[in-house]
Amino acid sequence: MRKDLPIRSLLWPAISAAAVLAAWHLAVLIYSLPGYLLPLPHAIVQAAVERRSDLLTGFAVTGGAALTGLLLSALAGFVLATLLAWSRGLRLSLFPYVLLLQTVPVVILTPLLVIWIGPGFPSVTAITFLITFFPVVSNTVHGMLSAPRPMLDLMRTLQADRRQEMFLLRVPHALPHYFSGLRIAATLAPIGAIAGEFFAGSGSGGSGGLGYLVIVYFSRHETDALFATGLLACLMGILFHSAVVLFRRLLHSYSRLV
Amino acid sequence: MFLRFDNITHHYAESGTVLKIPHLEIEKGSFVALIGPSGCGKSTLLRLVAGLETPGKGTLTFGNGSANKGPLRTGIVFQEATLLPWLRVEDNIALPLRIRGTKAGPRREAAREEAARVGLEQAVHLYPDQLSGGMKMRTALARALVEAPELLLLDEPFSALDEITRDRLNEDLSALHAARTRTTLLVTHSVTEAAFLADRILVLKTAPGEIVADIAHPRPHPRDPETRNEEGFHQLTAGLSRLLREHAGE
Repeated sequence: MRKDLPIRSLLWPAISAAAVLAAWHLAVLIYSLPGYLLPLPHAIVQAAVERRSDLLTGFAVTGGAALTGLLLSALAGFVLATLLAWSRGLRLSLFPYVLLLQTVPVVILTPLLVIWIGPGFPSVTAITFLITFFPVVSNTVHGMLSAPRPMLDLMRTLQADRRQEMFLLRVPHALPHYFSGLRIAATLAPIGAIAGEFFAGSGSGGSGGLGYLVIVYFSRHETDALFATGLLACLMGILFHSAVVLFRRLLHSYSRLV
Repeated sequence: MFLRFDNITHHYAESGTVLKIPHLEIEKGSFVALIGPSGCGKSTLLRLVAGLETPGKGTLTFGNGSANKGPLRTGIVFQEATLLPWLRVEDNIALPLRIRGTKAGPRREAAREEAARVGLEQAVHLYPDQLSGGMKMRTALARALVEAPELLLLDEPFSALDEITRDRLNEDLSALHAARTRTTLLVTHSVTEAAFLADRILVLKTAPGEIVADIAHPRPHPRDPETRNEEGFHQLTAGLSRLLREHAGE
């Protein structure tokens, strides 16, 4: 199969983006929409340039909390998944609560976290962790439990003990699933951090994260700046996702584990 | 006697197979082929010997006296190669030694020796996704043999391969058996494969799975491609085909 060149794979998304921007521009002009309702695309760029200092600080603050929460999920998620796959009793006892935790709305969890561990960075990181934790655990447990039957039969024939079956077969078999979970978690991390900042204050002390900037720009009806903040949040998600993909590719070049 | 079945009745829930073996003895060092229609229980019989299933009734006794329990060293090759995709060929071959706790140096040395025996000396650093179907099965065979097992179990190991590769692997397997004689049980659908490799052929029928013919075919290993052109070989395969037709669908 012929592989598309990078330039070719970027061409179609670029064409569709240009078409959307042109339609957007025309709609604003034709219907004379005011800037606070729908700003022109170039006004968003202008707003981003004017507020670059605040936005970059916000990006760094939110990014720090999001990355910390994501790394905690990556680590704790893997350890918990291994324990859940190891012990059926533990899985039956704990997995429903891991799922339950995922279903509790952030707006309910946030005040509790603020009371328990304080506002700002700790709460924002904890919320990011809680939002990104489930896909990592769920995917990894599934990977560990779905090792193919013939391979399990092989391990039994070779008289492998439980620990060997786990670490020679189930864990390596689960690594691609773990990375799939991490990719989902990577796109959720900025969402978690921004939602956390929305309810639990800024990511770090006096400096405002993107969530804090959303509140500020919203109160001032600065829609163009709100769009710019949203674009930065998207960019963060893409960066995190790309970092996971890149890390996986690097690992793949050394081994076939992922 | 190496392996003895006494009053074995086994119901295999997943496929609904019922296997009945009132009495069967397998001699040490013999190459036995099990042949029969789908669902006759020949793979189930192999799983019982491998210790992957416990017989519902009856006893399975090994030469070392253990009842219903596999001998100490068993090598097995399944229909699929079941190679671990994240391990190189030499590490896949060395897996049984790794599980046994053999140190990395001797493990690698043994794996390379076994790889050379099956013609994979140039492929030890490759990953399974870089191998052809035949090379994958050679790797699986080397893995099964690396511990010098007392018993080798082959569950339709070459059924997914093309005819030429399959014939070549059969010839290599016969040569390996000649070099290091070990008790071997082969499950196969192919009458030519059974006739080419086995010293003894057990024909099974379905519902219930029972042995309907026990045919001795003593001929020294290694057997070469010319074996397939001999009159005796043609008579044997014709006889086996007739038996299978007679008992098909019973």
